[in-house]
Amino acid sequence: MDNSRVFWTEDLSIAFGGLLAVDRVNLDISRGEILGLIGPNGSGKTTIFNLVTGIYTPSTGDFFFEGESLLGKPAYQIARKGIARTFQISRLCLDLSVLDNVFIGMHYRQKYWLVDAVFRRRLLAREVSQARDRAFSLLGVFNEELVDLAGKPVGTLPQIDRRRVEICRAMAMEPKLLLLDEPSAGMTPEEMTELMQDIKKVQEESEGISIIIVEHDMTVIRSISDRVVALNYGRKIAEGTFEEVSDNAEVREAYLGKRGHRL
Amino acid sequence: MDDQQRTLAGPWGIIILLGVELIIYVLFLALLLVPGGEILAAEALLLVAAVFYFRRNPALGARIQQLFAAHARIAWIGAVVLVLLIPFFIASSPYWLFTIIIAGLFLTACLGLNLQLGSSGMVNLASAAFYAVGAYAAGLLALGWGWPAWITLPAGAVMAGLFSALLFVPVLKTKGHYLALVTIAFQFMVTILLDNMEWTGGPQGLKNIPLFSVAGYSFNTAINLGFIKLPAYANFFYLMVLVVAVVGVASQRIYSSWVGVTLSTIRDDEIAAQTFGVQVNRWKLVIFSLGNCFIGLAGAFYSHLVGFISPPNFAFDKSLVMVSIVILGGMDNVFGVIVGSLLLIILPEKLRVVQDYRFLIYGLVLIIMLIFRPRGLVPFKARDFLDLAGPVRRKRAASASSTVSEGGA
Ligand SMILES: Nc1ncnc2c1ncn2[C@@H]1O[C@H](COP(=O)(O)OP(=O)(O)OP(=O)(O)O)[C@@H](O)[C@H]1O
Ligand SMILES: [Mg+2]
Repeated sequence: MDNSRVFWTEDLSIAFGGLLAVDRVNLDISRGEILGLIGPNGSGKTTIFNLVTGIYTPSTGDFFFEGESLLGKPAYQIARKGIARTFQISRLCLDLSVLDNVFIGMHYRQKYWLVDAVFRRRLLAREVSQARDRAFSLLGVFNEELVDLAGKPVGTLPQIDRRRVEICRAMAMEPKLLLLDEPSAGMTPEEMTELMQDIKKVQEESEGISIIIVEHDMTVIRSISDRVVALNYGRKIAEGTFEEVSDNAEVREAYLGKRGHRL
Repeated sequence: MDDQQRTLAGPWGIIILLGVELIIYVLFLALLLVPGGEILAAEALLLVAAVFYFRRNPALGARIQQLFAAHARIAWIGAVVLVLLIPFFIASSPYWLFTIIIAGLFLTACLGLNLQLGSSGMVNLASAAFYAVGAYAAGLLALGWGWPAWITLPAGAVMAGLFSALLFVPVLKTKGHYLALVTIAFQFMVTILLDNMEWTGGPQGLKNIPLFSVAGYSFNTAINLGFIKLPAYANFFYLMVLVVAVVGVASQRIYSSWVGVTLSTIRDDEIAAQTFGVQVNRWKLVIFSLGNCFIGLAGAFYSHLVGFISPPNFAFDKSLVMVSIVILGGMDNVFGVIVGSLLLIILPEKLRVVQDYRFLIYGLVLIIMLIFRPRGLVPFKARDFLDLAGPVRRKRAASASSTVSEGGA
């Protein structure tokens, strides 16, 4: 086995009723790589993320992280191995402050427990100040203004800032593998460019982190990913550099059917 | 603006703050001591007027809030002193003192319920049943084995916690509203069992449960201070204040800690919580049990306060009252629960005439609240960890963010 492979799947599949949403998909990603995952609507991209984070259990197949099978492990254990994600439809807690949302990303590194919450306030103050410094430096990567908004409920922030907070929350976990599900959805082209620069910055600052990014926007995929995998009807139909994949006949057909203009 | 700042910091600020507390206190006592419904109507009008006034002048409200934040310690000392003086002012009416103690017990129980329902989103419609577990455990231990009250109180709490852990295990595998359904079933099971089991006294319940006594001092004795004679309930009142203080401080500390963040995330989005490494089921089990411990503690206290308990004391309607208190007062907010308990326990006693329609009114209040103010009177507030940090850490935070900006530049 290739040692540089951080994460890979083996014939990963799941069926919902009669529908094979993911059909024997083999993916792999090396340390420090950015893998673009593309495919028309409903081709199974989000479902793959849900499978490898333990939200769904595969019907057949297996997936490995740092050489260890994570099949059947509950979501919280998979997270603790070092896989973090964002969601296509934001899952931030809108009533909670920006800081609280980022803090949950640090949850499993805290040794703090219920008894400590009541009796060890000094310890809490110390931990909070450290955690907050870290949260501020994460938020600061994106936008200095986000730091000033740290005490505000996330629900009061504009869409682009929410996306950023979600990425910060995932980064707060100090993951080795980061899964981004359409991080630029609902943004203007300018905001999108800005966000992509941010993501690059994040990746440079935490060297070694691998990223799988799902995106519909091909300019984004072209500019950011080292390698691209294309899906259609749950199957992997192409893999390679952006040029190779976008020249692939099957990919062209899959997209031309619905959204050829995107390519 | 500078002038105002100085007013805030100086002795005038403190005087204004204590004045605000005193006004609320006097209005509260007047409500209890002045007979008849007119005082209630008058205060209700006053309240409405005040609400409108503060709506129009939000700056004033904000300034009073700042005042309380700036002098938090003095505000607390003032409030505690005023609360401790309550028995002195209503020494002439033990009935109200008793009602306040009952409100305190509901408050204790509802702080537990708030941990479950408000902080973690777990619907518990069996709070009266867990209240019963605490009450009967304390009563049976005291009657059967002669255990003293200072042991039966925690024993009642622990029993309620154990029962809830047992109840929760089968629910762990299910999702959604099953917890609510299971708790309703548990509630009815407990009432029916209590009615039919011989060793709990059946429909007659338990009689002659020894009242509190500590080291030979019976709580059933009036306190004669020479210049004033406090009714025996004053003993219970001070013990109640102690219990509420312990449970309240614990609740507030849980809210303003990592645990609070974890619980809020579980409440708002279980899937997101799991994705970030939270052991959702473990936390739910722990919080469900802890909340029921608080409820059981209140139940045990009740046993030793009245000395006589029977199944109707713990029927489903009590569970509904407790849920109403949390929803009305404000989810996941300790102060909200205090407000809710006072409103829903003290006011109906004042409104004796409408006693028969009590539940109709509860229902109406709940519906109106859910439509117009679904988050309760004192809603959940985003935690302010910046506050907890204090000046030293604030400085460090500032330097940290400036380091980042240098790095980014
Ligand atoms: N929980 C579920 N139950 C039933 N069917 C599902 C479920 N989740 C996904 N599917 C189906 O699986 C297929 C793949 O969905 P998925 O969300 O993974 O697509 P996607 O590639 O992320 O699409 P999009 O670009 O629109 O986000 C779709 O046909 C979808 O309807
Ligand atoms: Mg998707």
